[in-house]
Amino acid sequence: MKKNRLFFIVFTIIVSFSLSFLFELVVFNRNVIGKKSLDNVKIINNNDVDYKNDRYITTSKQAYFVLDIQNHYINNIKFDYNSNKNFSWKIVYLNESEDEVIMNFDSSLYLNKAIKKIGKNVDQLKIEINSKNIEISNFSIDNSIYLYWERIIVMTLIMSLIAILFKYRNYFIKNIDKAFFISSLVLGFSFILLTPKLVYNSFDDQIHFKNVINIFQKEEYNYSYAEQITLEGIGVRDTNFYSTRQEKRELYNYLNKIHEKKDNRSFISNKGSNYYKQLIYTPYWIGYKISNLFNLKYITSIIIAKLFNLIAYTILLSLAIKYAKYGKKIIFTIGLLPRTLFLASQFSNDPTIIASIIFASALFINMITEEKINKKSLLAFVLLIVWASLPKAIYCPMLLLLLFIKNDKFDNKKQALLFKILVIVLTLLLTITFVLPAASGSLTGDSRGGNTNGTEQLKLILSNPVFFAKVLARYTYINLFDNFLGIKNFVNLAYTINNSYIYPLYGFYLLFVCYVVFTSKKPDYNFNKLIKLACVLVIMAIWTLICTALYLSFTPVGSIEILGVQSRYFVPLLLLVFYLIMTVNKVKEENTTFAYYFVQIVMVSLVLGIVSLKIIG
Amino acid sequence: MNKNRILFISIFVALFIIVLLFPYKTETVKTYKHINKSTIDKLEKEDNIEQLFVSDGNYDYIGFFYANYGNLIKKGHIFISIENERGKAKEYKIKAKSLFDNSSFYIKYKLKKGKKYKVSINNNTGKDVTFYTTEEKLKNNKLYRNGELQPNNLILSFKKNKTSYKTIWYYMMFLTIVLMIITLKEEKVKK
Repeated sequence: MKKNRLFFIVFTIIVSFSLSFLFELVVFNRNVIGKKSLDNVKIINNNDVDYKNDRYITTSKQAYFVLDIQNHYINNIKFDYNSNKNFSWKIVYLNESEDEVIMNFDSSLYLNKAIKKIGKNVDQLKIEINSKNIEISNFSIDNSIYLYWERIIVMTLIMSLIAILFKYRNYFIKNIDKAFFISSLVLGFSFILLTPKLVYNSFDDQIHFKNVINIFQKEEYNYSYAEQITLEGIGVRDTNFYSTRQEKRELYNYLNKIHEKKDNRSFISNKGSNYYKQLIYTPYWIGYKISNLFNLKYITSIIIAKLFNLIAYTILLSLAIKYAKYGKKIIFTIGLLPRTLFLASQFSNDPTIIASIIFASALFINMITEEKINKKSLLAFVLLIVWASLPKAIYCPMLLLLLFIKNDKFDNKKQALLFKILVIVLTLLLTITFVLPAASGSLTGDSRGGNTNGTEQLKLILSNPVFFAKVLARYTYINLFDNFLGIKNFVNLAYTINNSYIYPLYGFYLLFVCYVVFTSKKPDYNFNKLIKLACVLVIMAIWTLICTALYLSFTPVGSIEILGVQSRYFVPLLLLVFYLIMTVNKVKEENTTFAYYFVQIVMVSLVLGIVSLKIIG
Repeated sequence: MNKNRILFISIFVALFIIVLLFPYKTETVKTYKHINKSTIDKLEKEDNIEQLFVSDGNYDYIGFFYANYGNLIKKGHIFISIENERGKAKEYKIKAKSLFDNSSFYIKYKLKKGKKYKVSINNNTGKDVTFYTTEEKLKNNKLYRNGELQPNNLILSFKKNKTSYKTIWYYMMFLTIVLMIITLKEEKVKK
């Protein structure tokens, strides 16, 4: 039986790989099949260039070359260069309608080859170099077949996933947690492979990456040159640099090479946050350190670091699905939303916070709806909320939900009261970690928000609470729906693509989520109005804390708007919100179908397909 | 009181004392506001910039918001001299390879509240570097580039080391969680 299973999996992978390889070759390289590349393209004109030692050297910012292409098809134009600085340049040509097409590019001082996509038949090409002292040589037309291996691997994995889920559907229909485990790993890993391998893909991921590398927040730290270039981000976050996959590959090879040598130097910077807040980065750090220990390449180390956190995220949500008595399918759906999967595949502290709080929410509903409290669930709930609150203490009010568990669910009243007192103490201690800095006047504000000053803002709130209450009410009225069920919580991939390409999928996701929520069995026993009120109060408290925190740190003093609030801060609360609005009494929780998995995998695959085609840079 | 309880209490008291005796070292940082943030013209080898300022507090470090136009500079130094009111100057030779582009770097220098200081900066890397400036209105600050008064001032940061007993809160959280476990377990034993 096991041998048959293994044979099927291996066979599926081989067939999927072959199909993916053929698809990549025939479909994505169809424009170059049968077309020849051309080395040393003839230069028929040039300006402000000297010719020395088989190279051209630009002597002004108006230097240019005119290349004789003779209506050849150009997939990519290539040239070699040598420069001690980043420089800008342009391609100019006439299209079929005789209109002038201008393409602007930047090339990095770290590379020696420019490879830019044209994808047209062109008669003549003018290349203008807007910088002096750039050595240029070997203009060529590259029409070679390029295999985008990451896409081939992703197609292989997704086809195999669908085949395996279908073949063993009877098993996976009953074991939704296991279905989630493999789906999340495959789809999340696909995001890791297809999105740019460095940072500046997601929100503040360069800061999170820095926190991962220097997890103990040492004041003096020796970054490798590769890490420095990654963190500085020059060129990396600009769409004109490395705009083809070939150039990206050249950059990655360069970074791999320089990461091996760690010069003797140290950077003195701010001590950063309290190291307890750093604990959330542990999975990334373990992956990165293990890779460095085995001298794996720099880019591979980054991929493995991201993978380790994805595994942590997947394990937490799989356990949430396994142990949840209500809302298994809802957790599955939230876990596979493109937004949450994307965050789980990048450097961020959000994924494990989301997974921890969702798991805790499921455990809370379990405890409420059981006759006697499960002590392991109780302690797991506490630990999960504390874990999520260490980097972001604003989620600590979730602990107060435990106060609404009836005393008769404990062994005796004394135990219940003592435990609840400890819950209040723990919540206060977590609250103090962010209230004290504000009260002591050491809030400085985030300069990205403009003229911010946390201490002044706090004084304003305390001296004029009615004004702030109006600001908060106004913000809530305008943004409440958007921040929970708006487009950005479903289909937003931060800076990796132009998100308008995937926004059309929002309608589907909203309907699908509503379908799942309103066809799942609602918690019935003991999930009464008081508990629901408690959930609403906790959600409102967290909403207020988040808005207040961003008003203090990210909003100019005295503003009537609240800036900096991001909808991803509310993703952890989605399950609790859905529990409140579920309506169905009689449907069996366990009813899943292969179609339920298939639809979600196809939708995420669609997003991944768009990412592979439209990735910025 | 049974032996286990005594042992638990002793361990917790010992941990509490250790946390008190070895507090966490943290820092406060104050930075000039980024008003119309810009950069001073790139510094070449012959150029010199001088920033006069008055310290608004007691600090242990002064920071400079540096940029190098995306060049990875592996050789050369930035020379910084800080002179106090009495004319006593302290000089620093900062390795350019230890500086992050678009980031602040700090040097250790004790500043006293209300005292005037003059910072001189020279670039000896052979590559273009610059420093970020602000148009924040700073009463006693003046910036000169090669002797010419500039309309803005360097963005400076000031850091002060301090002892934080924040670890106590986390210790108490840990203690609270352990007490929760004991609370849930004890009743089972009693039964």
